[in-house]
Amino acid sequence: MPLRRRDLLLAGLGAGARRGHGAESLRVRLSGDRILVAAPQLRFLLGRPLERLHNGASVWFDFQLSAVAERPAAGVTPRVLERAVERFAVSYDLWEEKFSVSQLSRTARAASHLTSAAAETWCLEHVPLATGALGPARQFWLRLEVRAEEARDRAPLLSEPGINLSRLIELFSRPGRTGQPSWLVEDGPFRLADLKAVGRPSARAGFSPASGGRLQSY
Amino acid sequence: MRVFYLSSLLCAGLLGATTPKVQSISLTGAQNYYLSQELLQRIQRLIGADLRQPAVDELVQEIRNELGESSVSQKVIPGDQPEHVKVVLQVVPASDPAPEPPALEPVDVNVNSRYVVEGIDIRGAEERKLSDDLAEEIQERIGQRFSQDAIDDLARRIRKELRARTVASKVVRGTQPERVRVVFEVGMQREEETGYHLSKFVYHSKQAWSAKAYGDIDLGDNAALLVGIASDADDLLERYAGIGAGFEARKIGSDRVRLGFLFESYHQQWNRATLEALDTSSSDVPGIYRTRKSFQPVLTVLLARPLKLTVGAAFHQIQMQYPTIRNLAANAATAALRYQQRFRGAGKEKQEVRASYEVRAAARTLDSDFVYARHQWTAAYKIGGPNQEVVASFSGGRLSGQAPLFERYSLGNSTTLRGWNKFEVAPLGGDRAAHNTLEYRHRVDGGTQLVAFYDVGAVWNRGSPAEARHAVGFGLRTWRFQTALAFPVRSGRMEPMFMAGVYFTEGAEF
Repeated sequence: MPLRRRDLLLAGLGAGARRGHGAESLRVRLSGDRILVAAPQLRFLLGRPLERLHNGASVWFDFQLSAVAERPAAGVTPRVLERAVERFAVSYDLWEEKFSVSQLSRTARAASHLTSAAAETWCLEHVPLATGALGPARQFWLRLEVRAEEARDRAPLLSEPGINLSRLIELFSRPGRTGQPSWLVEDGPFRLADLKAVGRPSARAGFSPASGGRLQSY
Repeated sequence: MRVFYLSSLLCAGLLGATTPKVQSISLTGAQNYYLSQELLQRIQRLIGADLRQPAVDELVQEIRNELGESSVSQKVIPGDQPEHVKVVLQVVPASDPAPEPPALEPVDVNVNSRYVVEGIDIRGAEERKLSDDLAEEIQERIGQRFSQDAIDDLARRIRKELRARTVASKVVRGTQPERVRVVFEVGMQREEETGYHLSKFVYHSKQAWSAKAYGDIDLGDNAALLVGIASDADDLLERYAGIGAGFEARKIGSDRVRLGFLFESYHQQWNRATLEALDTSSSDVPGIYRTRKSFQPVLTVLLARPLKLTVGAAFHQIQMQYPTIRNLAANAATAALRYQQRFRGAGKEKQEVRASYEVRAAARTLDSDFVYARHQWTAAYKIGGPNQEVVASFSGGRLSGQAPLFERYSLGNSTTLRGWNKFEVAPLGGDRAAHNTLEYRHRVDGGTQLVAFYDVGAVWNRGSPAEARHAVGFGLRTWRFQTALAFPVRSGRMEPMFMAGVYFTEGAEF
């Protein structure tokens, strides 16, 4: 990645957001017409969400990966070029002491028998960002937001079959509630032409062995 | 669709009565080298094995996962050999103009949903306070597979019914593999949290208003500060007015042990009938007092779910008014044993039993100026269904030695011998008491019940004959609000008593 300047940018997401620090950044790959990211330093299965998981509850995590036109800065709303939103339900097997993740979108995916790190990786692997609005030479920044959702936020999103993506985007347009666990990693600038392409199928290339878990249907 | 194929095969009798074996698994629309070695080995293992739909579903899901955006359809067709089938998996890349896969229905995605619920515990509140319907639903969940949605729903309903501040659910491993226990941890509203059930607001046509308002301030870490004010003419032979404060630790090593203390400081007002009776009485009843201060440390131990033991002490200092103003101590060791149990009968019938025994023993060794032993027994039984209830209750007391007026028994207030004026029954109270109530309740609307009752009781002194008095009445009851019009049964003039109030006192909800 010769032209890629790995430059972590910090921006406020709202109260409770854990901002990335110098060691955090995104690993970005191109898979066909999708961008896939990994954030090796991002840990969201911890604190209160982890406590709830250990208490047998499922915790829902909302992800928003967006490509923005400008370098994110405090007080400036960047222009979003592309956006991907996904919701995952994570649970913790009380007997096997492993994590399980289900993707709550139109594409049914689930994985089980994962370590916490593998579960986190698995979620990120399944937030592909379309590249339609990104020209090969155009600079863009990537912004990854993760929020843990309380039970009270679930109903409106599941009132119809599948997940209401518009509602999910709207959810991310508002600051998180006070105390809501949330995370933000920003990185850039990138250009499609500089990204390392991986062959189809993208999810397998480079990422799936990291999960170390077993995939399953539900 | 996949179910259709398999069902069709079964219905057509192609497979006979035995489970068919997988002759082959073919993958079309994608190259095998896209799949991991582990998955390919799994496919190999399925060939030759019995056809199991869950195994095929799992395989399809794994292939979809490994192929990223692809969707995979499946077909099961008859094989070349008898009792064999071929599984055909068709990979459809996402870029193809294939129909969008169906949207997911909301599902329970908690991995623990494969485990069976071994038991459900409720901590921080008494399960008997739940409605029968909810209690039954909780019981019905036992033995079923864990469902996050169902448990969340139960938690919401427990919170609503118990008016709890919070209800958190927790799932833990069961005693056997593949089983889990669900624990609801209830954070009660403050008046429920405290072991001191004191608050009430009552109007009685002979005693006028009585009010006691106690609340607690949560200090966190299972501790609370209790503060309150009172002006009460209903409980005792005196009207006492003043303030109280206390502290309660709700967990001493275990949820089953609580420690608290209560300090109260009251000024007294006396009824004319009591004063006149003291002037004319030749008994050894101590005189009236101007103030009463008390300090009562209490340790409560939940011995078993229906049985609760309370031990403590009550240090009273009273300022006697006659013949000269002087302070006397009435210090007693206290103990109480309480039993509460609810039973469910056939259908919607429910029964509940409560019983208690309480003793207070004041002795010189406790530096008490009064020496006495006060015993009190209560028993109550309730049976009923959704629309009707019958309640029978008994209380009795025996006092030996010389006790101050606040320890003497009296009947004829808003809860005992309703219809009678306690100063008419026994203006100085008595050292013996017995009381019975029979009550019929009929639900008329939602949580409102029409109540008809019959009270009989006597309060007397040792060596004197007991005179039983009777009263009947009717009223309404909803939540903790009660109102009644009661009539004494006697010859001559009958003056009805009206009473209405909101009770947060122990047993008021029975």
